[in-house]
Amino acid sequence: MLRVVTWAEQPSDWWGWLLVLTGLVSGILGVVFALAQHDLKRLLACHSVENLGIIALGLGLGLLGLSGGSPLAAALGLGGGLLHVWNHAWFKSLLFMGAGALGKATGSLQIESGGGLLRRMPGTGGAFLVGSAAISGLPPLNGFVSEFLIFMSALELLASVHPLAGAAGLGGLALISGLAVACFTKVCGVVFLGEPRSPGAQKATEIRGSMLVPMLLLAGLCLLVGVMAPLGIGVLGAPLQQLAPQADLEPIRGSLGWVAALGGLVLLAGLGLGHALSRRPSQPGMTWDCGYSRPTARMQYTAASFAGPLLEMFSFVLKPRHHGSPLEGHFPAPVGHHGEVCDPFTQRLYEPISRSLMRLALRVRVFQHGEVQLYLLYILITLVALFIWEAL
Amino acid sequence: MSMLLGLFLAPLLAGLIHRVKAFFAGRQGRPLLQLYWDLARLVRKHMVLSRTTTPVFLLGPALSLVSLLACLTLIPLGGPALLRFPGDILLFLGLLALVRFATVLAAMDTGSSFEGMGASREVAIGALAEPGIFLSLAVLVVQTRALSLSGIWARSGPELWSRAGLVMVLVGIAMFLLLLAENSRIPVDDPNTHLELTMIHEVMVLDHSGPALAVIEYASALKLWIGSLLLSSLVFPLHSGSAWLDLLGGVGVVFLVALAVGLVESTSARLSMLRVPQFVGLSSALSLLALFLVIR
Repeated sequence: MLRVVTWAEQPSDWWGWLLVLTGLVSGILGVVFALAQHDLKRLLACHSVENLGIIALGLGLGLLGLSGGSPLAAALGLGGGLLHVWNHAWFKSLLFMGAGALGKATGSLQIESGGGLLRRMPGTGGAFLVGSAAISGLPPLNGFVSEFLIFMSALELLASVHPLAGAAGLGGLALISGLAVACFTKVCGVVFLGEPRSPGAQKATEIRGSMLVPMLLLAGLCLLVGVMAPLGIGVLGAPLQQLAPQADLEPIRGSLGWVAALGGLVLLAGLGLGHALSRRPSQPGMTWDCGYSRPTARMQYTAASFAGPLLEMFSFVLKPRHHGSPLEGHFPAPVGHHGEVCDPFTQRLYEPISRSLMRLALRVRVFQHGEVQLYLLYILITLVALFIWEAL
Repeated sequence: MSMLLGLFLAPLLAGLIHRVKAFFAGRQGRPLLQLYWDLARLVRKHMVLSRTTTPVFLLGPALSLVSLLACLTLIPLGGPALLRFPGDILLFLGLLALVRFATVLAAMDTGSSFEGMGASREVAIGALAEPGIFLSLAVLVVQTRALSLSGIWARSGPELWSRAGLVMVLVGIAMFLLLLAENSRIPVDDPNTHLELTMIHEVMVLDHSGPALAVIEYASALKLWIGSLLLSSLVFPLHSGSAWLDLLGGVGVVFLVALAVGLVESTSARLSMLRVPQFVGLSSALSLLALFLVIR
């Protein structure tokens, strides 16, 4: 897309608007649908939709900067979008490898069949935590750097040539990152923390080194890009020079330097303080569960309940379905309850189309009955029809 | 200097709010300095660590406190902040998101159903509050043409109020509502309730004890200080010419905000959980309205 843009003399406004709107819709819906998923790989796939939305949003803001004549906003938006392409490749590979490790260790990709895995698989769990923080756009990791650039682009546009697009980008991206935090605390909390929720998770052990090392490398890379942020913008310098030559990126480099320094310091100091706390005298106990004598793993909050309030708020797009009956009578019989969220594109776009295609096919089917004589008759009728048509 | 002031005075805000509430309830109330004593007592205690927990359990409070300290270096009070650069607003908000991430994961680490419930509510409210915070700060960015908190502080003030009073009122209300939501105060959450099912922030820290609880209590005091400071320094800054007077005025406004929080807590009831999204959404709507007034 960017390649094509460089051929054009001056991009029009609507190119940017189109990308901004596509980005917002894809970003917000992507993360909302991710919240509703229970299969880790499906969830991560929904997050890809979200991240591509963020990339489109960055590029759109950049194009609006170009068309409106704000080279700084253009460089920031395009740079943020481009950097997010890289970052997304890194943390998403890391997270998918984590999903693979989960499948290998517990035999299931369902989030609810994890639990307590950080204790049993510290390497995988640690790397997955880093990847989750990165995809949620938290400092000092790489996801924050690219979102920082896109936010800056939105702020620039807001104060100059395209205030409306700036406001939309700012509010939309803020909502997306807030929801991403919700989604990844759900995944990390349910899969890696707490008590094992299935026999598979109970027996899980750390995966082989050949699977673990790439994850650790990618986690390191996420951190490195975060704390080396000013260098990252140096790498982007050449393409940005071509796309938005008049932009002065020096102040941004300075800001990113501060971001990286303060973010890195927070991480180090946080780890230090955490370590200091763990050295304080303590005694082991049981999780407080309001006086229950024996909390079991089944009492833990489930992923579905965790995402519940947000899913309720977005039920107008998600259209969740609930099956089950309410409790009845003074001594109610056991009842079941089941809820699910289906993909609306499958349900309302692809399925109706394929259904009507099938209906049509069934109607046409009367012509295909396997009697050779009648097929010969079809050929004869066709030939006669062709003759008549030619004769007219 | 202003940072040190924050470090020392933050726990006082909680005491002040308690006294206001006690006054309205016709009680004597606990001493103003109670939180300081509580902290000193907690730090000396032993901890009970659940056998379920991992290092995340202690890392959560630690990262929260350190992030809030970093936030404190970015906020101006009576003078520009210790660190200031274009875009420091975004780092500030990023660090606040990190606080939420760390706290929520520390809560999930215990495997307790109550803490899971609190964590779930926290992320839901947080996700809705996020656009509100960004948009209300964006209004100030547009008004002052400054991309850093200290820049906004320098160009905000009486002059801006006389030029765009309505906008500033809207932003002020939006930021105050967000302060209530983000610091788990009534009407969103009740910091005093003792029933686990009704809480958000307090329920997430049920299992922390001793020094870890002290870190959490101090961090939430700092968060309240930072939230009030945002209102004081960005919406109601004083530019009298004397740095000392500015500092005094800034701290005064912070305490006024705490008084207002106490007033709201004494005169209103908690909203039902289902109504909270509307409350938080209101702040986004107000900021959006202010933004449209500014950029029209």
